[in-house]
Amino acid sequence: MTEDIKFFQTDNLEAALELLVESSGVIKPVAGGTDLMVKIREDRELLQQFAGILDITNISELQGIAQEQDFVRIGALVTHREIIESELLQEKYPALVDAARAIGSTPIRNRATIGGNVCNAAACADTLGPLVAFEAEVVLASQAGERVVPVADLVEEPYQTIIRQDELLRHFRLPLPAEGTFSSFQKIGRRQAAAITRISLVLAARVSQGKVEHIKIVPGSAIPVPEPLTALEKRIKGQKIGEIDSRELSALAGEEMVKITGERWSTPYKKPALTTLVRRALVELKEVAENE
Amino acid sequence: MSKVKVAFTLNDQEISLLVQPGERLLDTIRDRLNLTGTKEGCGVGECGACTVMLDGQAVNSCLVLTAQVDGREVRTVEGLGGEEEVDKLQQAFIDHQAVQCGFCTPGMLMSARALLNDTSSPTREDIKTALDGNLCRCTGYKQIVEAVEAAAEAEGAD
Repeated sequence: MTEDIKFFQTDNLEAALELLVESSGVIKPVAGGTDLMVKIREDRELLQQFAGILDITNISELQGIAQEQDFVRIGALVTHREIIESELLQEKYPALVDAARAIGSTPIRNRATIGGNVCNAAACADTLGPLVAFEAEVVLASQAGERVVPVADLVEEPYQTIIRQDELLRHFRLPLPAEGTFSSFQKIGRRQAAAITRISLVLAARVSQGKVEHIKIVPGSAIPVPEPLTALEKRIKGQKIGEIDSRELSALAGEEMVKITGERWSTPYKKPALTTLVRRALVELKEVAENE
Repeated sequence: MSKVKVAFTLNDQEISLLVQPGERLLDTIRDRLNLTGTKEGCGVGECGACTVMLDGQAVNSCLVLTAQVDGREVRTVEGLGGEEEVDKLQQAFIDHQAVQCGFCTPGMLMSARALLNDTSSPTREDIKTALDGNLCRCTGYKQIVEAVEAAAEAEGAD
């Protein structure tokens, strides 16, 4: 490998942000490296596009999980292992924990970070769905200051986010879910471990006095960027939980997906698959709500 | 060419060397340090043949930049057991015939060692999860899982 690129490492956020601005070429931030290293292997030329690689793993501002006043902060450098092991996240956002558990394999989860999963922005990125369903925001830091963007607005197209070259994803802010919020994550892959998601679904909902008060349904790997199925959500919101027809409503999910993507080569598989995932999630929601 | 100076602990020994900015830990271990127990299989983090321990956790050394391990602790299969004796885990692999061609074995051992260092009495499910990043194409996994169970028991008895 012939390389003229430089390797930078700092534990200082300000210094990192300065480097992003002052360098005469693209500086590629790297954390766990589990996506970047695969891309470099596939395309050795890729490294030549960067003036340097910036290892951000030692920057403390980007680390850790903590509950603030009305949200939970998850640092960009938090690994999938840390998500799985966090009692706070297990309690508040089980669908996010299950999504993290479904990613890669143990050695991948030990290295790969939630910030990396989101910045890489693959259509199959498993943490994007739960983050959108929980209405998370990202805090992007640059020398110009910070800006806050909903995760739902972050991804423009697969592998393309609105994060600027001079910005680093600092942390996520997840609003505290209201008491009694139910959430589930389901994934279909070709095998259990180390499988890229073929299709996934996150459902987050709150049932109060027998009625669906709040609902978010976000598919993964089914549509190019993570967004909720708003037409379906509208149909379900306000309905009495006992009157929810899972079969009929789940069929609407497949139709809404096709409205977004158009008929594609994968539609004959993905439409019934998504329909089934939505039906299962609604059946589970009903069971949980009726047992309360 | 701007080489990067890195200093880290490898199998309990402090080492310091100059590496390329884009150099993989796997290549440093095998080609610069001549520790060839760590294998390269897929090179993309799917097979686990290159698994080593980084600060006690199992990682794919094909996906780690050597420059990133500055100041950290790396353990390879050569760092299991001592000069004269094998690690209990290695002995359990021998006893349970958990090795056939042996190519996946170093990676299996490192994933299992990371688990046993964390958890003294893992369940079968814990073991399967810990080994979910390691592919074996000859023995099947039964003997391997049994070997890890036996090693956990043997270490618990100490």
